[in-house]
Amino acid sequence: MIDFLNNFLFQYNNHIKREIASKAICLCVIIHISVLIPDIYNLLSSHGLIDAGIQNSFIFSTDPRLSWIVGPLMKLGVSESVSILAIVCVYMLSLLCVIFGYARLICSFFALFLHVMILDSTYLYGYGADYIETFLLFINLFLNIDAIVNVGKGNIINSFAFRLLQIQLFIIYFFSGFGKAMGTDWWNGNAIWFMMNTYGNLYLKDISVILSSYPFFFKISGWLIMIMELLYPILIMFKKTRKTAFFFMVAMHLAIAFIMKLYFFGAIMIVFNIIAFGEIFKINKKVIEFAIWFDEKILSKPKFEVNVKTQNQ
Amino acid sequence: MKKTKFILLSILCLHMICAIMVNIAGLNFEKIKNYKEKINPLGKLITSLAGGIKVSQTMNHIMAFYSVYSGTNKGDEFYSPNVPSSIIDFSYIANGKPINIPLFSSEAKIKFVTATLYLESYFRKTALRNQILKSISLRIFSIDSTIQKLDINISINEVKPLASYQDQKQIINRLFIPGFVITRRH
Repeated sequence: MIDFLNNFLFQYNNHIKREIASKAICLCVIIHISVLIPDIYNLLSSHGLIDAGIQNSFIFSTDPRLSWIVGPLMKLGVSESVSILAIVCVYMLSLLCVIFGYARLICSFFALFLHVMILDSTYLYGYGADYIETFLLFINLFLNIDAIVNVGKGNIINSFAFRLLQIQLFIIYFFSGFGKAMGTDWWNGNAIWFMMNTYGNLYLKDISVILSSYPFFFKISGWLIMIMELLYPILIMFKKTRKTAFFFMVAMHLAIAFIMKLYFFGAIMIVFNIIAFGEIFKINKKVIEFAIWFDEKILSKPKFEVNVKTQNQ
Repeated sequence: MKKTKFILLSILCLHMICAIMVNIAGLNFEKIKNYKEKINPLGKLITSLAGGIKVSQTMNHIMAFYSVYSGTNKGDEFYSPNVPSSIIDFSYIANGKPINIPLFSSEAKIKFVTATLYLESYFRKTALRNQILKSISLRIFSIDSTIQKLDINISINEVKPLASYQDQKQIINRLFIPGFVITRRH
């Protein structure tokens, strides 16, 4: 058991490159916050659409919030809007520094802290994508610890970080499926029907009307989503079912992105899946061996012999 | 190495406890209590079991601190145990014309819709609902000084279940409620 745990948690080398995972996480978060910049004052300021007092009433007194920085800055004469913009700039700069490998660990820490601070200050606006980003930025800390530890420890921590990503995905999908199994809508087909008619556009509503003659479609779709989510931790661990589980989830998140218009949630979940199980994209060893053989034996070998003769001969 | 592995294992244990406890708490959330008639026997059993789990105050503090920074403070029961069959739309009318919420990006609009979902869950808590609506109105008043009065109307679109659509061929029940009138105080 101890050997299994040791191998599973600390000897996992088949993951995608640490640098790629870390950069992908930071890039996603930068794109997300960049999109929100035109609305940043309406969302974050104390006089925004939903003022800070209401937002703060939902969080614990110890949770970080923008007023911790904005308050003292305002006492120094810096306006609230400038302070908020400065915080967002430092947040984005920290993410860029991680991407370009400058003071990676400290910047990862700043990025996580400022992300939590912004998220807590906009508690009512927070949704799935924001909380998944918090988790990915938390993992990003582990992925950048190798900047200050030796190679051996770095490999152990990287292995652990990728396993923690996978375990979190198991928990997310399992509880998502388990919660659905407790209700009635996902069993009787109403869930997909409601989704198409409440979140969908006109075309999707038309499609749902056509499909209403085949109620089993709604039932089967609901069961499939529920079963795949519940069994995800098992299906993804076995080689034979891994690809099916992976691509099913990617397809489901694409559908969520386009039907429910939750583009960032869909995108961040797909990136999460790719980082956690990116190994399935790795080219098979035999394919690599064949490519090397092909290169050495076929491509490098001249197709005809050149016989050079000088005029004197 | 042993020390590193021990620390990492401790983090894993704390993470699993936090994530599982938050999700179990989510299963027993208000939405389940509100929709008891749409919970199957398994759901009823789980909710009653989940309600009985108690955590010590110290453990609660540790979990609360860890879960905020690890993004595990919200449960993962998306669209469960059931999918909402109705959508509440808020429309804002000033000087007889509908006005848009001053947000540019579609992502910000999604975030605003998320906030109005909270408004739906706290719809019966009038104090909080009025506080939120007042805050939205204040922002609109400060952006456009010509607006003196703002009408907030509520429309509830309730989608009928699949079986009843097959009988009646009508998808949506619409209900308009003249909501609130907010006036600028000079």
